[in-house]
Amino acid sequence: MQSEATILVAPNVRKVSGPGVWARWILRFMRQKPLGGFGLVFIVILVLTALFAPVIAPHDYSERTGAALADPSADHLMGTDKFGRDLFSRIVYGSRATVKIGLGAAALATATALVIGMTSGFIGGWYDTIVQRLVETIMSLPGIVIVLSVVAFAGGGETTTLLVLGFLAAPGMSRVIRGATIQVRDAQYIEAARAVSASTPRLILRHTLPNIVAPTVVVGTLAVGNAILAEAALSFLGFGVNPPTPSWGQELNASGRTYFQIAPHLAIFPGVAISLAVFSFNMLGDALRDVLDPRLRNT
Amino acid sequence: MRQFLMRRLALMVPTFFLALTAVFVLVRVVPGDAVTLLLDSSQYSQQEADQIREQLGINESIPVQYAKFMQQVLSGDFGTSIWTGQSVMNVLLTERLPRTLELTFFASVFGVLIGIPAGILAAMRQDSLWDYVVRTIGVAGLSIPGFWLGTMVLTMPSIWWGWTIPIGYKSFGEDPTTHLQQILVPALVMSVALSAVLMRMTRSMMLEVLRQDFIRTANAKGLPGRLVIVRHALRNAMLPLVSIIGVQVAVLLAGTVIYENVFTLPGVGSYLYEGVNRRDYPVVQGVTVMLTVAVILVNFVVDISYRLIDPRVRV
Repeated sequence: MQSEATILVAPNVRKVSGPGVWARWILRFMRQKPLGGFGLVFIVILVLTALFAPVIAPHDYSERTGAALADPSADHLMGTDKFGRDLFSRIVYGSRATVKIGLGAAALATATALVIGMTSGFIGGWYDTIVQRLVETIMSLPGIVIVLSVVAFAGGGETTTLLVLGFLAAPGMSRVIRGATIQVRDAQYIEAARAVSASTPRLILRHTLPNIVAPTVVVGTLAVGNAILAEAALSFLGFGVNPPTPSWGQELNASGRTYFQIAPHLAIFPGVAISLAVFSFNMLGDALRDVLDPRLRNT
Repeated sequence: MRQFLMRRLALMVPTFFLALTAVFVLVRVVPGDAVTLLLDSSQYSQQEADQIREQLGINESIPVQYAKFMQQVLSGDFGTSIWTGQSVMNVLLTERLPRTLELTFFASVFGVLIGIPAGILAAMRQDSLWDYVVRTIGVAGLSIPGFWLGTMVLTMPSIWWGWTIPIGYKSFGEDPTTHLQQILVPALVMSVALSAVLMRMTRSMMLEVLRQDFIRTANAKGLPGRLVIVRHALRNAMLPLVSIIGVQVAVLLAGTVIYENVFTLPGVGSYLYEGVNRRDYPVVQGVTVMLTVAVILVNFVVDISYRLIDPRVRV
């Protein structure tokens, strides 16, 4: 039940923009949710690493700069792989695929989910029934199996991976967005806007969308973690990012597996990188959910 | 109950139909076809390629292909593997599926046995050290990629103690100890993600139920704490857990593609992996349909058991 006061206050009245407000909000968030704050910091580092990979990496990712399978040392922070390439540089460059596919697939999924969820929740009726049947069906498909069979037909690669992961993640997310839309749909400010004959697209875009930002941000953040995990798994199987472009999952691929017992650093560092990236997005998502939208806590 | 079953079974027909159509659309809508890729990657001549296209029926128009696809699905005959010439359905049913089912079964059992008790204990001692440990494992278990965990389980013990899972798959009849190591270790690794999900869910469901009035009443009338938990709290908290377990078993089933690859187990998942690698179109199609059907069946069983636990549920 919403209280009288919150109903009467029109949305967007409080001024919530300007760099100062944002900085203060982030500071308070980090104090309240240290693990979420850790996630946020790591994500910033990850994105910067991807952007400035050539500056950060000491070597080129494909250049043979040392002895094969060398242990970590001052020159090769994480050791070298079977060809003598610097593992640290490969991980730095590999972050590009992670960021690109992780953020890209999540953005695509969020946009698709917004369209599906908001129209379905707002329009309702037979349209809602049909859309929800389709959503349920796609949600019940075994995800990775579908991705693999698409790859079998179209070939792998970054673009295919991004598109398929994005579209398959959308139906599940649209559920949450539909739920939030339904809660907002009957609010008095929507009724008021309708009374002054606002069109349905305007009702959805101007009046509903700003009020379901919180759950959207939460599911969007969690989707990035899932997309990174899925990309890593696909690249591990050899169907995601194609060599020579480096990616973290690829480093763990079967072709390198024979060397792990001689040079365990080859197995440890890429796995830690993937885990940390996914963990950061999961922690940030959880923390955002607690702060922005406590009602979602059990989903 | 019988009426419920009938209605639920009837509902499954459109679900099957929709799901299989979705599989067909998702796979065919993507540009490029299997045979072009086959040509790129190997030694086939143009003529042979046309022959294969005809054999597979992908030289036809999309509606005809769709009709053929549905016909294959309904008859349960997915043709023969391009690579080995064996009947896909035969290989699946006699060799691959039993191993995958065994693996998935043990992974689910481990997940439930670890996840649910850990979650209950965490909820009973909220904000204790144990609760903190469970919550951390709950998030970490979802963040660590399973294929990496599996790789580490294969690598590290051999470095530390010189122990590895025996190589070369053996059935239980051939060599029971080898077989058990080959199935139980991967199942344990697979169960990590499942127990993480279950820990989190059990904990939050229990916390919610423990706050309810009937728990206070049960405590107030002097019922022993154990009985309050088992008979009153757990029974109510279990309801949402059943549907979560159902969804997760489906995830496990699909995840065998990854785990069977890591542990080189010749099950359904590796069959799909081999099929994709060799562009073995009938194999890919057969496995995809079979796993989709399996997931729908799991969901069906979950719905039924939900109804058995909670008679309030109506369709």
